[in-house]
Amino acid sequence: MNVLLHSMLGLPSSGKTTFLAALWHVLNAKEIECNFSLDKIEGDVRYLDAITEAWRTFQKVPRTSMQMEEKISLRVKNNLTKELVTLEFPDLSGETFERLLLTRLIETKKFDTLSSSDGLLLFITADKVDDGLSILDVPAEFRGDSTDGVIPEKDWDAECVPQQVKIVELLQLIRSRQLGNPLSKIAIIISAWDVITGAGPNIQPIQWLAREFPLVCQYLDTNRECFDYQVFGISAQGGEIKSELSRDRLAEKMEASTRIICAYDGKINHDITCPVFWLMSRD
Amino acid sequence: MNNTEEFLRCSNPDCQKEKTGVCIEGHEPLISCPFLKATGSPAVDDDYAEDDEKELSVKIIQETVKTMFYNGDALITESVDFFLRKKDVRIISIVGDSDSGKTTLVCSIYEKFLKGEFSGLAFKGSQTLYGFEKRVHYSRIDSGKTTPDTQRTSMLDGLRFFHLSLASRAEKNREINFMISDRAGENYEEARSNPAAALRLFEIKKSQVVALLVDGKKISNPIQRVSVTQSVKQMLRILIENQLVGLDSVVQIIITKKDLLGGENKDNNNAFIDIFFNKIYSEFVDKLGSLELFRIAARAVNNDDLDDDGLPLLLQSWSIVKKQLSKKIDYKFKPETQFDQMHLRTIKREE
Repeated sequence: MNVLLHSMLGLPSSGKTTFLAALWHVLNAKEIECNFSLDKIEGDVRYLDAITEAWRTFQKVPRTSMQMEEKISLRVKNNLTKELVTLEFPDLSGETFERLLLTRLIETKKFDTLSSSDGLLLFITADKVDDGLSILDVPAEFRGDSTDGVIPEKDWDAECVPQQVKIVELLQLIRSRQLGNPLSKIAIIISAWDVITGAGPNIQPIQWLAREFPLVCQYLDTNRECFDYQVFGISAQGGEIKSELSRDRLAEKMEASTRIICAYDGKINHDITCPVFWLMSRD
Repeated sequence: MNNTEEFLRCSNPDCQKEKTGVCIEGHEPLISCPFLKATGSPAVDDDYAEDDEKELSVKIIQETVKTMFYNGDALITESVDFFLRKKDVRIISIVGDSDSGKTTLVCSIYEKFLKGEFSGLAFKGSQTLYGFEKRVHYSRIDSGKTTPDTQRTSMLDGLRFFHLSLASRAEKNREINFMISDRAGENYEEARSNPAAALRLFEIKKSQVVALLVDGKKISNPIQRVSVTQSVKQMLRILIENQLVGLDSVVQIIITKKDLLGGENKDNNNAFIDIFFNKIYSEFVDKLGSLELFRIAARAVNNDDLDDDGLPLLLQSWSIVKKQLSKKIDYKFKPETQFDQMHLRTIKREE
């Protein structure tokens, strides 16, 4: 049976584990039509069950710590071709990637897994803070006075690097050791997509990425010989779960899978398998 | 596993580190070389080091087998040399006194791409992203400063290069790799008065573009403007006399901080710049491939009256410079008239 390895890449709190939790629920519950379905439970799924329980009960899905890194294995059936495939998802913590950027070191075993992946799921949260703002981006009258000390002066450290620069550097680091590899397939998942859909006019995930992470967009676009990519807007939780009102509204849904939002290719549905299915496709 | 010894092998096929013990990219210590890769054996003892695998000669202490990457900071010369073997590179030398705006110019170009495509070019990559980030920190809100600043380049840093790989949209994404020099201004101040020091600026001879920066703030000050312009003229003279620039060189005079040249003295300032450039042009242009004037405001604090910061035109000029200009020029042709000289300059520019 074909085995496909899909590594999940992203900074801390970018939605990797919540995505896995929602995916496991959708495959288990079979509430909605999906591109592929669970064929058989293989191995120990306690970790998946634990994170999915948090998702089902509207709790914040616990982040993966470096000590908790797991490799998830799912045996699924392609509903179109009926082909059986084992999907493997090494769940690396965001801290692993932060440390890689800081120390320029990663355990070779982890890196070999990353670089030999059949596809990458790159997570970027839409619920981001504006970083990398230049003083000149702020109108002069709001810049304050150097003596008012509203924000204490701070020396540079790696934490100061804007998210979009970190993401480009991660992709560059991985690519720098993949010389000779023809093409990396990357499904870019803009997580917490409900923040965007609830905020105003309709915008496509690729447009949002170009607006908010222009360096990432330029890098991917000018390296098309290295990257085949698609951008998906995904809300695995479906909405804000800290707000009681929003959480109750989500809980009213008869089928929990329908709280999931997946925006892709101009359409919106609940099928969280879309990015993985695109990675599985051979075109 | 704690404190076990590991061996690293260099993945660069050109590197003879195993035999010579010297990193081809000049990384010191060797562990900082991005091409070193752990061989995969988690536990290595002294016996192992003495057997047939002895050639794996770099020992380090670490807990687990790890893969190492480039550090992301500004590059040393050896790294640029290594890069040159793989890719076509344009070396841009930024020459100027302390506080003339050298690092600010380079960082401002980088920051343009953080906001999107710029001047018909798109970001394709950089080996020095973290180097840029360190230098721009004091221009960011997160630094806590209220007036933008740039981290000064120290004499201790020596010669470094920032890397920018860009794709030209008008030319089917043709890749252009810039290596932009970064030295402390004191190096240039010394070289201006000391030919021996000038000869140490070896990167200038290898450059496709030599940009001489003139601090616009000093030009706006009648007390300082003669001094600052004569310093640039002397710098150009010493570069020519020591054959660091010549008939194959594209030289640019760049007036920085042009936002400070406005106001009531705007016309006077501009007239002074024009006179200065005309004199320098007539004196030196025949000894150079080309000599051009640019006015920029890389980081204008008050940019309300500024319609253009001058950076798009400057970056375009770096992008269209042809390599190895000298090899295409017929030096046997001796221009005798003003027309001949103009014709020759046109040919050089077109080539």
